[in-house]
Amino acid sequence: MHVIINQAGKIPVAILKGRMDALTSPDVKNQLLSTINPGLAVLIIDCSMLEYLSSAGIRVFYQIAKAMADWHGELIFCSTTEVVSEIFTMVGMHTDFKIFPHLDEAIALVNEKN
Amino acid sequence: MTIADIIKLIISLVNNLAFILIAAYLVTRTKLYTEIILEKRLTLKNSLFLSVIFGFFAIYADYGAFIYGKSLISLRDLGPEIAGLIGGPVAGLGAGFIGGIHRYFYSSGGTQIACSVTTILSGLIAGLVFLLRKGKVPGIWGAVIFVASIEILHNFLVFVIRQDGSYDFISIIQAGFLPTLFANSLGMAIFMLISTNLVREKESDGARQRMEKELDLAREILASLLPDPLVKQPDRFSINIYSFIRPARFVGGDFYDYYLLDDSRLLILIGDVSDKGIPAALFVSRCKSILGSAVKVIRAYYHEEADPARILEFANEELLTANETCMFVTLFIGLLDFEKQELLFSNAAHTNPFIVSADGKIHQPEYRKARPLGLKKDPEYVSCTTMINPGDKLVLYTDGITEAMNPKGEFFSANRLLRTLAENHTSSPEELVRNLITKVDLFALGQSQNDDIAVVAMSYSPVNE
Repeated sequence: MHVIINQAGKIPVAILKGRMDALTSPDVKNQLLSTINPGLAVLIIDCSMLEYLSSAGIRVFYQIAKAMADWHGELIFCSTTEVVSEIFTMVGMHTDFKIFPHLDEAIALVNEKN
Repeated sequence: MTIADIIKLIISLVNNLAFILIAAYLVTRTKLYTEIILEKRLTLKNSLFLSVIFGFFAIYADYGAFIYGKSLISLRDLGPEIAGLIGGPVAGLGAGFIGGIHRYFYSSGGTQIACSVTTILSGLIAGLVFLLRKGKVPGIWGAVIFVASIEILHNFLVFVIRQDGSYDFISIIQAGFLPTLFANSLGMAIFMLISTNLVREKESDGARQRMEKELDLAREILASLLPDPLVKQPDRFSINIYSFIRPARFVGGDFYDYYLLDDSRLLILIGDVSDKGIPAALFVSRCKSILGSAVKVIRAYYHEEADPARILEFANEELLTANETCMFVTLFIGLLDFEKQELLFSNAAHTNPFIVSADGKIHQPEYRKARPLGLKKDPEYVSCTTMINPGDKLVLYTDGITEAMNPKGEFFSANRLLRTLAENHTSSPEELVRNLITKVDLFALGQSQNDDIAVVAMSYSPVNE
């Protein structure tokens, strides 16, 4: 499992590559936490290369969102595969987070807001 | 030294080192050695053991020594050095004497006094190092430095106790000081490496055993959380419940429970906590307490209007507190009314159960999708109703069943589950559950279980007067 952090202008984009399960999730959480600084408005999670997501992974997303909520920061997702979409739907993440089919749309929306 | 000499020397040293490696591995795995190095029990017996073993090392080293002119290039001192460093002065001296005296009589090229004395001294000094360090075995580098010092001492003694007056500094060096120094250091490093490996292995073994004991206890505690078989049946109905739970690891996140609300109503639930293993099991414990409290409240205050959706709301609010790690749980709660032949249920993102009628019809009740418990405030939980007749089997399960994988990577899937239910439409709840688990295990073909598994089947019938 690799986390690659890119920058789309001022917005950090975290690309998750591999499987996010009980074994790999703690590392992902730590890497994402070190990416977000207090005051960060948006973090985009790019799921295009996310092969598998277990409940451990879901928890990490909610924990990051909780941390960012302290300063009204937002966690946004994009490019989920079918497998991951199903899991997102089951848990109801689409009611808690914005999920976009493509990275560009996510970035466009963020820039629109600013 | 010619090139041929150097090659022969290297071969001889490598042979000796190989012997040390094998012997070290065997010796360090004896019970006696474990006693000495781990428990530091320095009885006379242990010291004797070390003296003999490492004295033998010293003797063997001489036979495998490389003969160059009048000198023996050997790993003789290594034995007493090890004995002294790990076993103290008695062991070191003992091994030193055995090795030293043998050396004196083995070869009389003029260096025998210096060599024997060094061997004896090496054991003694190693023993003193042991005392100074209060029994703590030196690290690899410390031991190597010690060995190097003894080698320098050795050559100094040879230089000083010249027995035939022909030694000077250059010939001492030429006589293989450097190779011996290198070989002895390497031998000591190898032995210490093997020895510290052993220590680390035993310590982690100990830690592992302690952990396993705690896990066993955890499993017992969790097992006692499971509901007892329905001992007190209601008067007018006979209820048959059979369940099966198997965690993926020692303990897990799948659980079920049931409560007899009154003479004709049974509350039954099944849940699946996020993750697996101990973290999930801890959360199960919490869920059960909360659900148990909810049922108590319902029994006491809302007896007539008992509603599973309200239980989910209550549980959700409770689980949102003190939940930094964002654990969540999918849950299905059903309230069976045997008189009305109705199932009132609410589902928080859990796998939808099946109702298998005796005539073979299988259906899953329609319901409104809702969120798992513990994630967000104010999710909307609603209760739905469906018919459940006497003789019908209500089958609750967790996704460990449908997501069981075989070596090819295929899932057991809802299809196979449906087929198994159809094949068992006339079976008792127990037969159905057992057959299902057998099917799942046969399907998985020995592939390790990747998620907790739980199945509960129940049916009811009126008691004939």
